Amino acid sequence: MIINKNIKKQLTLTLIISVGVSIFSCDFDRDENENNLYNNEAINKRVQVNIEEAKIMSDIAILNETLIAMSDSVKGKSNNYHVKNISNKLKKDNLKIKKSLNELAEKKLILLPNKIDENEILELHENEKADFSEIYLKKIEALLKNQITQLEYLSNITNDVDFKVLTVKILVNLNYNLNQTQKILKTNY
Amino acid sequence: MIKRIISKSAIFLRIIFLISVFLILLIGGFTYKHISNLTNSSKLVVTTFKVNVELEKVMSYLKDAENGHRNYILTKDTTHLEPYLTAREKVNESFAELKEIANHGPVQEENLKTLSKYIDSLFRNFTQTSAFVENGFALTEEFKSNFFEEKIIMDSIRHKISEMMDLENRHLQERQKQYQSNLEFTPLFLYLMLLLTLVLIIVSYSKINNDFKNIKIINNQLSIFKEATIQLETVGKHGNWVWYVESNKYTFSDNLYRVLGEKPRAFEPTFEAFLEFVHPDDRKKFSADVERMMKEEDLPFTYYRIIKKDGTVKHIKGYGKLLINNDGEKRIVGNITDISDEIERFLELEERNLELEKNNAELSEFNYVASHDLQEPLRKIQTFISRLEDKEAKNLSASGNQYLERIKVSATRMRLLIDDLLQFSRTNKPDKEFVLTNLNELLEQAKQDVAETIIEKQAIITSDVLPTVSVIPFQVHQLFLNLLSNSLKYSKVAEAPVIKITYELVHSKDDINLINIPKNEYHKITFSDNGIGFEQQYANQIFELFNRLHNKQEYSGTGVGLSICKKIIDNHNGIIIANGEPNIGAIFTIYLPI
Repeated sequence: MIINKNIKKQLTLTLIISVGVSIFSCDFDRDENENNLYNNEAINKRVQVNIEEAKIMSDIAILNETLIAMSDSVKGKSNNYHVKNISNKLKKDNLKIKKSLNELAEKKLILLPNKIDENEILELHENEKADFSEIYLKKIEALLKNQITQLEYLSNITNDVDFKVLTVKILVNLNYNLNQTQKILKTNY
Repeated sequence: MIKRIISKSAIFLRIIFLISVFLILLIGGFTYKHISNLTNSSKLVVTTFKVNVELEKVMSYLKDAENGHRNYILTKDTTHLEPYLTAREKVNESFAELKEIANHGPVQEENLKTLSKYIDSLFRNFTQTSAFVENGFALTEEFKSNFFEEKIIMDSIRHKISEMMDLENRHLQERQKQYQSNLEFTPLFLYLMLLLTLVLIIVSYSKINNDFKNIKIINNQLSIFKEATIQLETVGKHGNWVWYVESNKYTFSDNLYRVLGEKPRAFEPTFEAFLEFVHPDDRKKFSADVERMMKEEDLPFTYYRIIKKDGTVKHIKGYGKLLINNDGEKRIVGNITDISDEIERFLELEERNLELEKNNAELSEFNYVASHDLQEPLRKIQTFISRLEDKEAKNLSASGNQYLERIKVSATRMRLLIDDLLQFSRTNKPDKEFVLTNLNELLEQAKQDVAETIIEKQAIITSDVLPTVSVIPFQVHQLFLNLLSNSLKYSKVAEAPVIKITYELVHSKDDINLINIPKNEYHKITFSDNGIGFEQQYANQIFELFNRLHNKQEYSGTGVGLSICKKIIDNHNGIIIANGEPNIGAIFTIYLPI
């Protein structure tokens, strides 16, 4: 009788263990895991995001280059102290932004263009000297707004921490510069 | 222990079942794992293919850009720059893909970074070259140097891409090898597991089938047995009960109720309900027996009375025995039997026995007294006959003397008869004391008693050494005396009697006369003579009282002698057998048990 009871216990234990082992041996790590190399849907999604990030980064880089080029154009064209000031600051800041963009692009394997929006430069230089500062400031304002919009959009679509950190860092700077530009515009024009 | 487990069907089947379940789950797990591996393997092939395609695309974009750029340098036509202008964006798209699908090992990641740097350098180179062309500095040394650098960068890019593709392919091959080895093993393993499971299922099925058949047979037998038991109970006035020790519950069979004079299931089977039927005088003892049964889990034979509701008293014999089943559950299975009829018969028998004993005693007494009292007048008759012979014979006529002679003979005969009857009655007396006696002494005494006749007839008596046996001495002496007397009396006229007395210790299975006798060993004493013998057909008749084969004119006697011998042998639980052949002789064989 004792042997019968022991065998029953052992058999029950064996059954539980065998079922448990069988269940745990199953691989439940399925499509929910987005880092799975073989999850097509997740990969496609990430690829689209990567493409979008690269695109936005390229646009921001072009805007940044344009802003730098514009700030270079102010020399000899405007005598307004505030304009000169803001253009110097913008140049410094944009060069820093350029550096940050390049570093991130290298890390994220994104090829950034080093071209500028020549139309904007041409439009800037087309006008009379008297209107230059106002036009410059307006163009800067537009470009900064554009840059801010792009950065905000990037911040929304990306899940990458590096991008988010970059956008936060740059946005603070850009928003300040935009405010300053708008102030100057309001005060002087 | 394994044999015990196999013989116990339930455990064996459970084990087989669990093993089968385990194997099936194992097979399921393995199958899932390997299908998963197969899927991963095919995905890996697709991934490697995709990586190679993207790398080829990158190469293609760069070549297009290079071509477009060179065409622009040659023709200064900006339309040729279109591939160059779109190349960066396309390469970025390819890189976006490659980042996700390429082998994520550190080597390939480093390769991607290096490739990216090369491509970036190439594009810068393109920009510089374009600047040279736009500014009219084409074919200068700087331009040539830049142009050459472009080639080197392109070669580096080509080499890097090739390296990356090789790495992907190697990785694919390694994984394929691994999967292949698993795949080779898996089908065989799965097949063996399936076979094993199938074998187990077949074995289980076979066992279950056999068990089912056996159970069916046993059930049929049980049904018959149950019916037979019910009939036996009814005919034999039995009733069965079961006490389930652990739950302290009882069940009574239908006939148990009938024994108590009730209809089946007339009341709930409990100890208290049964006790109501037990005779008040026996309840204490009965309760004590039941209490002992509960403690010792056993009920030896117990006797008590019950009183039915109609007042009839019945005698009951009860018995119970402990049974422990395979699951260790204890039950006491018991039986009650109505032995009232047996008790009645026993009492009746006892009464009759007493009566018989009383009658026998009276008869023996009568026999003895009658023989004894008859002797006195007979003695007187013989005395006066003798006196008449002595004193008045000469006064009697011839016929008178003849009548007197006949009276004398009759008186003598009557005397003999009374003596013999007295002898016979003595053998019937109840006080038979067995004493260890040397039979040779008894034989000698008997010989002494017939010494005159032995001398007269010149008889020769030879005997073996007889044993010392526990006997009734005076009866065995009488036995030997009667047998010797018969041999001497019924001897041939012209021949001296030769009487042989032989002894042998025999086993009942070795002697034809003892075949159906239960005792094992006997003292066999044989009295054989060379007398007139007798027809064998009278061998049993001669032991009957007053039965004679010859009339009194031929040979004197009362026909009581051999009856006495038979009676004596019966008193000793022995056997006497007579064998005879006319004119040859007679053999009397005595068997006395040890």
